[in-house]
Amino acid sequence: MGLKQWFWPVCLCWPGMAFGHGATGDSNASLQLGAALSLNAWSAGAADAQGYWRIPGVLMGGEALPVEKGIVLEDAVLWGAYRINDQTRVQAALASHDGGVELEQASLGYQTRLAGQPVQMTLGLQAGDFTPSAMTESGSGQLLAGSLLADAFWGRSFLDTGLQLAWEPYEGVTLGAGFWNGDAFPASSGEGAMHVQVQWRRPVAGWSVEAGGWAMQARAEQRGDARYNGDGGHSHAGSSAASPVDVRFDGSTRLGGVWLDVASPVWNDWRAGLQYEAVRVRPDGALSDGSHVADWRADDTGYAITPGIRYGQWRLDYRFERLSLQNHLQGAGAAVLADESALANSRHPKRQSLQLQWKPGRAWTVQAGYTVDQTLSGEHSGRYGLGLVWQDVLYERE
Amino acid sequence: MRAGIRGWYGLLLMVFGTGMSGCVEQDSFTEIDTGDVADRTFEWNIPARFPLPREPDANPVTEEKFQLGRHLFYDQRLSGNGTFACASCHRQSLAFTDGLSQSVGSTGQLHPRSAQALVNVAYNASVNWGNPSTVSLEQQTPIPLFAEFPVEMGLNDANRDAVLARLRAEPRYTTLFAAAFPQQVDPVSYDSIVLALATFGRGLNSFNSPYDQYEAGNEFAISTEAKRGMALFFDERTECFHCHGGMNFSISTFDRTQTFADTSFFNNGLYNLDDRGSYPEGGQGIYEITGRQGDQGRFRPPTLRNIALTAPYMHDGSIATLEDVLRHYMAGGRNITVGAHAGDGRNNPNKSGFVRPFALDEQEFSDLLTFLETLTDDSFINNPRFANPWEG
Repeated sequence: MGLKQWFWPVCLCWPGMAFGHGATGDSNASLQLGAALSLNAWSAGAADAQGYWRIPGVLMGGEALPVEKGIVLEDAVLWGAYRINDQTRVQAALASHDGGVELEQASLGYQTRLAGQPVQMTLGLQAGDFTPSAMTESGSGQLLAGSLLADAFWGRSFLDTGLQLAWEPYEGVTLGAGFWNGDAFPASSGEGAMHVQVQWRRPVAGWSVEAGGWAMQARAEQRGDARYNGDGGHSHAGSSAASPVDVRFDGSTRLGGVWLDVASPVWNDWRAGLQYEAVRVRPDGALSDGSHVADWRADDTGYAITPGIRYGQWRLDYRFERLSLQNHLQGAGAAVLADESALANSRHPKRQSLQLQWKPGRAWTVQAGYTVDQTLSGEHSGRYGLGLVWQDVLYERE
Repeated sequence: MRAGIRGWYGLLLMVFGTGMSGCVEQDSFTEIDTGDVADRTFEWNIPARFPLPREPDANPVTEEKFQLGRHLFYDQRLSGNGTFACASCHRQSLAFTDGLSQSVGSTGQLHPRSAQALVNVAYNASVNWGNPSTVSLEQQTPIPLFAEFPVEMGLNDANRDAVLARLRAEPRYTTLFAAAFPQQVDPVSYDSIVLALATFGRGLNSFNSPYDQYEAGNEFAISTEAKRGMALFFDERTECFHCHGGMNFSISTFDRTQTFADTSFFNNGLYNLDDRGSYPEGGQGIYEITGRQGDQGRFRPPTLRNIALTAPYMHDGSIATLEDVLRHYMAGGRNITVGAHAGDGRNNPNKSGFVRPFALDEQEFSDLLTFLETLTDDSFINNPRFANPWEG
């Protein structure tokens, strides 16, 4: 899920600082094989005593799993890419998260021109690239804790089968669109999703500036919380405690977001940066649990702001993330379903993270961080984390 | 994607609005509009935090009907031979059960089933132990009145007019029937009796146990042992809550918040006469209605409210104590080694997947039992509103 797109090598972090599963985009090799591993250790888990991470006020799903206490192999990825000709490439990735191995990428990319400007098309199983936080996941992203916006609104990482298009009509400006089968939250398989986006990147007076805006519409039919209710036959609940009630959603979800990534010029090996992302999500449909039914619509917003500073191989980041969740349920079953789905809420879930990162070599990254988590309750819940990321190209042929 | 132009216009507005809205500290809230499901004019004996049961359009609850039903419930004159009342098998002190394995009707006939507790029966998605087609108290009430196999109250064509005459002769009924059915010229009829008895049953609600008080915020209402037992009860390890979950401790529950009723029936491995899952005749669950072998032994999970008062247990009263019920479920069913009912219920092919062996140590066993005892509602079994009006 975290593999950067071969044909869309947008460096979504600070220039030169990306450390996702595979920084493969600028290679001219005809064949590349690589691997990535990320190992995390946390002093405490993010979920409550029962092990279920359900942020009150938002219907979560996808792969938005809580961090767990102890040492966890977060990701193990093996990827490969083969250039068929100058215009066409195929790529694939196998990944393991919970012990099982899944095909996380299998796509064909084709590059051509429209009105004299490059167009890139990618067809197959791939990650959505509408926003930086859709393409990274815990353990492989910038911060150990992952993105709260991604966890709350699109199930951590957006992996689906579909077609993505990108056209660069002017230098530094890219227009894109994606047409999806709907396998990724908040859609349901076969119901479909679609996104459009615009991205802008160019240096301004020595500053690196990237920005983007996107919108998505997704439809769902009988969408449950695949994390805990066994959609597709699996559940990530590690506890023997009672599973949450299987509440299903039928309807559509509209999402929109903007993001900004600014980095200062390098001065004596120092560099400062700021990242900002805001998202708005508006689901509209019906909830049901087999016997209760209620109409549900919501207007949720969230933002994350991440100032940071880098010196040589060291980097220090602070991030503040906050959600505003406004739910309206109507119908005889409204109160019951609000309780069962954990939508009853009057708080602002938020999270603060401070992280020190050291990159001793090309392939290695070491992270140490502290997170104050107020997603489940109003009380501060702090935890320390350590992360180790390794990624490298194992084989390359010109 | 079927988003129209208007939808995409809205999406674009969202994108441009998002940047600003993300900066603004908006409120979080959840608005809940349940419509008019919370009309509590009638004295339901149900706390506001629980949804009300459904009531049929043809028989809305009124206090007058409830009081008439209460008088009829305790009146032996309503039986064919004038010796038996509904209350003969449904005693308030035992949460409206009779303490017998199998009930005995007005003529001495043995009933194949154990008398059910009349606790929160208004919520039952289906009313009987094993009949998915009987879904209202109005459907159920004539059965004990007129049933012949077995005879319960013993009403029949030969005595039905005489029974009505007995009721008409009681001066209190003149007032009670008239108040309950003010539109009727001659309200003393079996139709009225059924509606009144159903209304009385609909008002027999119990939500004031120590467990309820604990759930309402009184941390000291139940013991530490009971709290541990509660955790066990709602644990996947014991699976109890899958069949006995929800506010009524039975998933076969239907209230005003629900659009669809959950009429669930489970086989809990009580018998296995022929290794094909058969149950003894007369106690075969919904198989008696459907005729499907897979429905052998499937019964409605009863409420566990006041369960400590309703021994003996199961549809045929074949388990004497609550301790033995726990052991039954710990074993994943019952193995009967001798006699006419010999067979290993643990291997019943129709057994629910929720009934599987689990281990509890001595403390856990005691904790779980203690929790079940916290479901006893003393105010329910001593409530004068539900008591015999002919006494005192």
